[in-house]
Amino acid sequence: MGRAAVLTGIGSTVPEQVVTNDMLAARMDTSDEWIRSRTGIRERRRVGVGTATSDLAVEAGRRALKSAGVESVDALVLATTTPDHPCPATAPTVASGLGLGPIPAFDVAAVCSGFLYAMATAAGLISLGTADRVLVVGAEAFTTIIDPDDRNTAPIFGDGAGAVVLTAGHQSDRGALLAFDLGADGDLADLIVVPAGGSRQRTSGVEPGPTDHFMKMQGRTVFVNAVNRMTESSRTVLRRTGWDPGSVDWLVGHQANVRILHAVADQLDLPGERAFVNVDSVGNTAAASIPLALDDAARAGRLAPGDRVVLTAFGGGATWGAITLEWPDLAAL
Amino acid sequence: MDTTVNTRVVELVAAKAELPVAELGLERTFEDIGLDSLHLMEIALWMQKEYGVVIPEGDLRHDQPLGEALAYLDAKTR
Repeated sequence: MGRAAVLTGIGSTVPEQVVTNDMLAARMDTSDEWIRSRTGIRERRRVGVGTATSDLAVEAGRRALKSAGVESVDALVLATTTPDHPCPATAPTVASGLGLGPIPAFDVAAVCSGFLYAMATAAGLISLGTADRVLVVGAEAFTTIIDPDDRNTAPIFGDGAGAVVLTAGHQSDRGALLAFDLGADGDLADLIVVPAGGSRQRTSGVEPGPTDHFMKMQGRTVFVNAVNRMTESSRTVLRRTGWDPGSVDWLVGHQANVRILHAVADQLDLPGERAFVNVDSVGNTAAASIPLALDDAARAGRLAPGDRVVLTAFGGGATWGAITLEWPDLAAL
Repeated sequence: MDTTVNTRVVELVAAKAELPVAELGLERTFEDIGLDSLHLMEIALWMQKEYGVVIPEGDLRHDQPLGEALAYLDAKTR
């Protein structure tokens, strides 16, 4: 059996400030009923004044290290769409904040698929022998790139962070990441885009407009592409793992919208209740979404050791991916 | 409802609307029976899965009479 990356610790955090649907309805033309029926979201969290992505990442990382019962790792990979600064990467700040010493630390940018890309990257470091233990964090202060007056995006997105510890082990170990599938299609780059702040806008000779630093999303096209790509990617990893789709205990999809999650389950012929949902209470937290969902599921006792789990995501880029694992026996704190 | 239309399609639309089939009504629109834009995409995804046909975006509209929409979907299943 080859060297594998095994999930040995998990942790997450969300900021204290709750934003309810009624609070949004007081600001814009929307309603609690409209938001809940179309997205399944009741409330989301928002960072307070002075809290940046790295602050959330450090707290989630600290909890994951505690869950794993370790104080050091050999590398840190951070998935984020909302780094503390355009330059440098945020991961070194997170590593310093956790007192992890001069370990390699870098960011991975794949928007809502970022955490799966970061897991695959970390598993690569482990399989090469570059690292024996890696902290993988997904963290977002996503509301900082959301137009507070955009009724298409403001109800959907929230802030938070989740992290896992991956440790070198064997494919037969419970918690081993068993199969990966990653993909991207740059022809769909315009589906989810922040127009300003990058070299394209800076060299355009045109000053950014007042909302150009906020994310724009083509919701309907994203919906169809998300369902199709998450379904195909899940089928690919199921085939590579040798699992029958019906044997999956939990589909832990990127928490974009409850109707996307149920549509993916439907396409895979899985009962809707096997799609884990926490988007109702945290909204779409982009790269933080999957580890946040896993930690919520583990702490609620929904994930039992040995459960067959499929992780899948679709996000800006466009990017997508899926990973299979059997849930390990670990401390969810 | 017109009994010549594929009953699975009719039943799907009724289930999405949480209405008995008898209450759909050929002149009523998707909007009238409480379906939103995401429901129309869910119907398109179901057609793709069950019949392997692509329903282009815009072919189903919220202001479309059900009689017309169901006849269109029925033709796609054949």
